[in-house]
Amino acid sequence: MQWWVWLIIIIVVVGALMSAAVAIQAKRRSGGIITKRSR
Amino acid sequence: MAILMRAKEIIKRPVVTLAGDDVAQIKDIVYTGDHGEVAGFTLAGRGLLAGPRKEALAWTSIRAMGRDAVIITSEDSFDQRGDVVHKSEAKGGDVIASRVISDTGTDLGKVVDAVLDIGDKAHVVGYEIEASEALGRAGRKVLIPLPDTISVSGEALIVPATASEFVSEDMAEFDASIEAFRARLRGGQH
Repeated sequence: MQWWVWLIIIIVVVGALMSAAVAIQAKRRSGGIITKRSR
Repeated sequence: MAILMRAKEIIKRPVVTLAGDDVAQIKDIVYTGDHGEVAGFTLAGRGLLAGPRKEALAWTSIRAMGRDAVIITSEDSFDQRGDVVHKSEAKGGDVIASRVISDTGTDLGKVVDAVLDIGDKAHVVGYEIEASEALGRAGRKVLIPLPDTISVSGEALIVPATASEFVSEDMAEFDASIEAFRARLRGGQH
C-alpha cells in the first residue's frame, strides 16, 4: 500500500483511541449525590 | 434558612486555592443518611484526560462556596477519601434515579436532583423528583421537601405522606414549602 494510506490508518486509529480515552475519563469524572446510608 | 441550591449546580464546579490554582473539580456530593448534612465532596481532576482523585474535600475544609468556584486554602485542605465516604457507600449510595415512596406506600416519583440549604453547614432539604401519577403531575419535575430527620437506609427514599401536600415547582417558593411542611410535622398551624 502507499505510505499515505498507512498514515491515514494510523491517524484514524490514534484518533479513535484518544476519543475513547476522553469519553471514559469524562464518564469517570461525572458525579452524583451520595448518601451515607445508615446501617 | 440560607441559600437553596440544586446539588447538580455544584457538581463539576472547580476547586480553587487562595493562591489561584485550579486544582480539582467537585465530583460527588456526600451527605449523611439521617440528618441530611453534607459531609463533603469527592473530587475529580481537571482536564480532558483526568479521572477521579484519591482525595476528598470535607465541608469543614471549605473556605467559601462561591457561585463559580469552591475556594479552599491550599491543597493541604484535602482529606482522605475514606474520611468523607467509604468506597462501598460511594458505589451504591447514589440517590439519583432512586424512587421516593411515602410512608403510606405511595410511589411519588424518581429522584433527579437534591436541594441543598447552604449556610455555615449544608443540608439536603428536599429532592427534585420526576413526579408519578400519584402527585397528579406525572412526568413533571417537582420539588418535594424533607423532614429534619430523613430515612435513606434502604433502596427507596421514604418521606412522610404529608410531604406530597407541600410539593412545589418553583425554587423561589420551595423555602416556604419546607418551613410549612416541617411546621406541620412539628404540629404547627399550617
